[in-house]
Amino acid sequence: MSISKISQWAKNRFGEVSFPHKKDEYWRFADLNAWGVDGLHPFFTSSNPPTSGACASVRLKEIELASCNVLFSDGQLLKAEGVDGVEILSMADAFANNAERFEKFFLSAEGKFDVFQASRAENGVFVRIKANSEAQLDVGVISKMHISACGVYFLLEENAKLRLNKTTLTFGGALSSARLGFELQKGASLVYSQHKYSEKSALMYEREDFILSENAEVVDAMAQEGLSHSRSERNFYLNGFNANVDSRVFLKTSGNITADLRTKQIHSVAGAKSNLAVKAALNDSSAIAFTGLVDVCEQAQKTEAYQSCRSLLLSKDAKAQASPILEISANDVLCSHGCTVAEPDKEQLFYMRSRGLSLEQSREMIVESFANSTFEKVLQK
Amino acid sequence: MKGLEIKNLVVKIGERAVIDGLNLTIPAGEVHAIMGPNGTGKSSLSKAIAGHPDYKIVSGEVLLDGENIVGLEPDVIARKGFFLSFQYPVDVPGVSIANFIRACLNARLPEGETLDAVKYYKELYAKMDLLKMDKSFTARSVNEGFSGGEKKRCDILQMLMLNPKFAVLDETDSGLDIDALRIVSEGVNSARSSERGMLLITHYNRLLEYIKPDKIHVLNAGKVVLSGGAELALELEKKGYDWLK
Amino acid sequence: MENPEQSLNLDRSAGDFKYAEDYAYDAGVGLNEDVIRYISSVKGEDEWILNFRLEALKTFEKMKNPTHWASKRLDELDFSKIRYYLAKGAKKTRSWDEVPDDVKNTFERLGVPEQERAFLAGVEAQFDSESAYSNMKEHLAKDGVIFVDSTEGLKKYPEIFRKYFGKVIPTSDNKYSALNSAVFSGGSFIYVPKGVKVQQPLQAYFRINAESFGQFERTLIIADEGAELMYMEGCTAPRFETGTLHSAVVELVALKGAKIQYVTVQNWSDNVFNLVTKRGMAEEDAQIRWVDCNIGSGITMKYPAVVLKGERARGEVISIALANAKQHQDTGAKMIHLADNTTSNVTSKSVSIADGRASYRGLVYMPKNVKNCKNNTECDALLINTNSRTDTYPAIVCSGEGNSIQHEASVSKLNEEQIFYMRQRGLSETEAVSLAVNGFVNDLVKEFPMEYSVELKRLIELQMEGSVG
Repeated sequence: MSISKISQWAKNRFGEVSFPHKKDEYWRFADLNAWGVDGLHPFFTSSNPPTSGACASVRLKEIELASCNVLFSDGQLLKAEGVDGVEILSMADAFANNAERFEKFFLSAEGKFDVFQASRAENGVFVRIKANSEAQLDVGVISKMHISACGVYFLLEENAKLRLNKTTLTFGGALSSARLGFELQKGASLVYSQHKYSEKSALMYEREDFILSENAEVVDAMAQEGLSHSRSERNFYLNGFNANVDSRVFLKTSGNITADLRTKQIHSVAGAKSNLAVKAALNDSSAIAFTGLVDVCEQAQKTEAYQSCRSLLLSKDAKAQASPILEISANDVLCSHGCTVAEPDKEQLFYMRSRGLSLEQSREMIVESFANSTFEKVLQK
Repeated sequence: MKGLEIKNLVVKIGERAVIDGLNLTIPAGEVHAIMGPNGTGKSSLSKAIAGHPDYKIVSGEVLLDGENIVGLEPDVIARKGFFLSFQYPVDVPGVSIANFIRACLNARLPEGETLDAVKYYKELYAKMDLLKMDKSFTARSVNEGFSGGEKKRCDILQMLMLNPKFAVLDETDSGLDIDALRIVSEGVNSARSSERGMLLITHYNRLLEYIKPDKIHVLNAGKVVLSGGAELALELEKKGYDWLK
Repeated sequence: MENPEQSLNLDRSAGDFKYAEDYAYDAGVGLNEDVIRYISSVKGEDEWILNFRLEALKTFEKMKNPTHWASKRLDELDFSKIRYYLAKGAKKTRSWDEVPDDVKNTFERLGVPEQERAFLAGVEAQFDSESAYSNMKEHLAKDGVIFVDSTEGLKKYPEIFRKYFGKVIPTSDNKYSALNSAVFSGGSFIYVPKGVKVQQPLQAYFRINAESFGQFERTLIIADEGAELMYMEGCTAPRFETGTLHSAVVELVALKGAKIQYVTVQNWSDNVFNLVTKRGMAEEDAQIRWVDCNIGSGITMKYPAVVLKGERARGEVISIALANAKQHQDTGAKMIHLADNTTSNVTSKSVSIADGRASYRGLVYMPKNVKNCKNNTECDALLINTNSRTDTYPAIVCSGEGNSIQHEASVSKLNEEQIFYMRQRGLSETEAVSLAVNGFVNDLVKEFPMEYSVELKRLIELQMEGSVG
C-alpha cells in the first residue's frame, strides 16, 4: 500500500462509518448537538469562511506561536526548523521505510474522525528522534479554516529523549482534527506538555496514541481552556516491561460546552506502571464527559495502574459526568480508581475571605491550587 | 530425641544462602536463645523451619521430636506442634481473635469433632488474664490496628492456647515497653515445661533478664559461631558482636 | 468463548420435557400471545391484567437488549427455547436420585433439614410451611399488613396494588422488565399500613408452597407513611432448577418516613441466567436499603436502584458477590437523586475465584435542580487466582448546588504473608484462604440478619474448597 492508497481507502470508508449517535457507547456522555450529524454537517459542507469567535487569549497565543520550531496551520506543515538529532519528513517521503508503521497507525481507525484523519494521510508528518539523542521541539497547531486535519507520527528510537511542548489553537468556526502517534522504543523518554485553546463555535478533536516498549517513559501534562466543544482520546499502550506513564490533565471549561475526554491505559505485559489523573474546573453550564479504561490483561502481573477524575463544580449549572472503568484479569496487581465531584470547600472559602480576599479571588485561588499539581511532574523533568 | 534438632541446614532465598550449614540441638524442657546482629539469618532460620515458601531448604534436616519436618506444608508443621511467634505478626482483617484461635484449635481435632465452646472461652479468658489482656480484645480482628505490643501479646496468647511442643519466639521483645515486656515474659515463663522446648531469637540482652535461657548461641553469616551459658549474654552486651566476625 | 449452550446448559428442552408431564399447567416452549392468554386464564386474572401482559409482550418484542449491562452475554439467550410457565396443580415427582450429587452434598454440608432439602431440590412440595405461613399471616393481619403472592394481590386488593404496580419499574424500563411484565407469576405483594413497624422479617420462605420461587417473580412492597419492614428473599441453600432463565422484577415504594430493607441471598444453581430489575422509590424522609448477596447462577445481572424522590430520603446498597469458576456476577447499584438533601451509600465487595468474573456496574445521578445531595461509593475486589477477573464500571452524572459524589474502587489479591501466618497456626491452606475471604467480606456480612450471616459464612467456606492448591 502507498500513502495515497491509505487516503483512498479512508475516503471510501468515511461514508460507511456512521456519525456519532446516542446509542453508541463510544460517545457516551458526549454532547451530540455538537458531535452528532447535525453538529458536524455545517463543517463538512460549508464553503463559507468561518466566523471568528474573537477570543483575545487565542489571538495573543497566535503571536507567541511564531517562536515554535514546528508549526502546522490548517493541517499543513508551515515550518520545520532543523534540530539536532531530529529528522522531520512528510509521511509520503518517509513511507518507504515506515510502510508498516503508517498502515498500522491509520488503518486502526475506529470512529468517524479517525477515518477522516486517515483520508488526509498524505499531509501527515513523520518526526524521528534518533537513538540516544536528546531534543526539544515546540510545536504549534493552528486551525482557522472550517475544517483542518493534522497528523503527526513521532518515533522515539532507543533511549531517545524528547521534550515536547505543544500549543493548539482553534479559531471560531473551525473544526480542528489532530491525530498524533508516539512510538517509544526501548528506554525512550517523552516529556510532553501541552496547552489547548479554542474560540467559540469551533470544534476541537484530537486522538493521541502512546505506544511504549520496555523501560520507556511518558510524563505528560495537558491543560485545556476553551469556549468550544472538544474531544480528546488518549490511549496509552504499555507493551514493555517497566514502561511507565504519568499523565495529568487539567480542563477548565465555561459557557455551555462539553469537554469530552476518553482515555485508555492498556497493560498487556507484566511489570508496567501507569497513573492518570484528570481534574476539571467547571464554570457556567459547561460539562466534562470523562470515560477512562484501565485494562490489565491476564499476563500483566505486577502491574500498577491508577486513575482518578476530580471535578470541581463552580456553578450550579455545571455538570460532571464520569465513568472510570477497571477491567482486571491478573491478580497480583495494584490498581485503583477514584472519582469525586464537589463544590469548592465552604470552610476553605470562608478562611480565605476572612483574610480579606473577595469571593471571586478566593474561588480563583481554589481553582489554582486544584490545578497546581498538573504540571508538577513535567516541570521536574 | 525429644526437642528440636537442626542438622547441616542450608537455606536459600532465591540464589542467596541465608542459612549456611547450621547445627543446633534444643532438647525438650530447655530454653535456648539465638543472638546476633541484624542480617545474620536469625529470622530466616525461624521462617525456614516453619515452612515459609520463600525460604528454600536446600539441604539438611530439621527434626521435631525425631521426625524430619523439612518439606512439609506450613500447617502440617504447625499441627505437629511447632509454633512460631512472628517478628511482625500479620493482620487478618474481619476475623476476630476468638474465632481465629478456635478455628486453629478445631484444625487440630480429628474430623467431625469440634471444640466445647464453654471450656474454650474459660481457658481463653484465663490465658488472657495471665497476659493482662482485656476481654473485649477477643472481638477485635486479629492484629488489625493493634499496637506493636498488642500484636506480640496476641501471638503469645495463641502460643498458650495452641500448646505447642516447640516454640520459636522471634524478636518477641521488640516494640514492648518495660511493663509489657514483664507481662509477656511471665506468659512465656508459664509455658516453660519439661515437655516443651523453646528458642528465643533476640537482638538484645533485655529479654533474657526476664526469661533465663539454658544456653545462648551466636549466629553469624548463617552459622552458629559461638555457644555458651546464660552468662554469654552479658559478655555480648559488653563487647558487642564485632569481635566474633 | 466456548459454546454457551454447553457451558450454561441453555438448551434444556430435553430435560424440561422429561418433567413436563408432571405439571398440570404448562405453557409450552416459546413466547407468543397465546402463551400469555394461557397464563392469564390459568390464573383467572381480570381483563386489565391480561391487557397489561399483552402490552408488555409487544414492548418486549420491540425492545433491544440493554447496552449498559454485561450485554454481550445476553445475545446467548434464545427466547424461543424457553418455557415461560410451569405450574403446580400436580405434584412434582422428580426423585431424590435425579438430583445432581454436588447439590445433594452441599445440602448435607450446610445441614439443611431433610424435608427442606427435598423441596429445595425441586423433588416434591411436601414441606409443610402452610401452617407456619398462616400463623404468620394471622398475626400480620391484626395490624392490617397484607402479605400475599402477586396473583392474589392483584385479584383481591387492586385498589392498593394497582396504583403502584408497574410504576416504579415501567414495563418498558428494559427488555427484561417487559418480559417479566408479560409472563410474571409468583413473588410477594406486601402492604404495610401507616405507622406499622413489622418486627419480624417477612420471608417469602414461608410461602414456598405458593409460587414464590418462580422463574419470573414479581414483587411489590408498599410501606405506607412511617411504616417499617424487612423483607428477605431467597435462602442460602442452593436451588437446583430446570428453568434456565430467571427474570424477576421487584418494586419497592417507601412513602413519607417509611423504611424498607430488602435482603437477598441469591444462590441459584450454575445453569441459571439471572436477570433482575430491582428498584425502590423513596419519598420524603424515607429509607430504602438493598442488602444483596450473589453466590449462585451462571450469570447474574442485577443493579438494585433507589429513586430518591422526596427530600432527605436515603438510599443504600450493600452488595457481596462471589464469582466462582465459570460464573459471572455482574452486579451493582443505581442511585437517582431527584430531591434536595438526599443521601446515598453504596458498598460493594466481590471475590473472584478461579476464572470467575465479578463486575460492579453503577450509576449515580444528580441533576441540576437538586441541592445538597451526597453519595459515597466504595468497591473492593479480591482476586484469588491468577486467572480471576474483576471489572468496575461506574457512571457518575452530577450537577447542581452543594452536591457531592465520591467513588473509590480498589483491587487486591490474597496476602501471602497472611496465609502463611494462619497456616503456621495449623490451618490448612483452604481454611486459611476461606478465613481470609470471610474476613474480607465480614463487615458486610454483618449487615445481614443473624441467621443469614452464619449460613453465609459457611457457604463462603464451601465455595472456597478446591479453589486453592
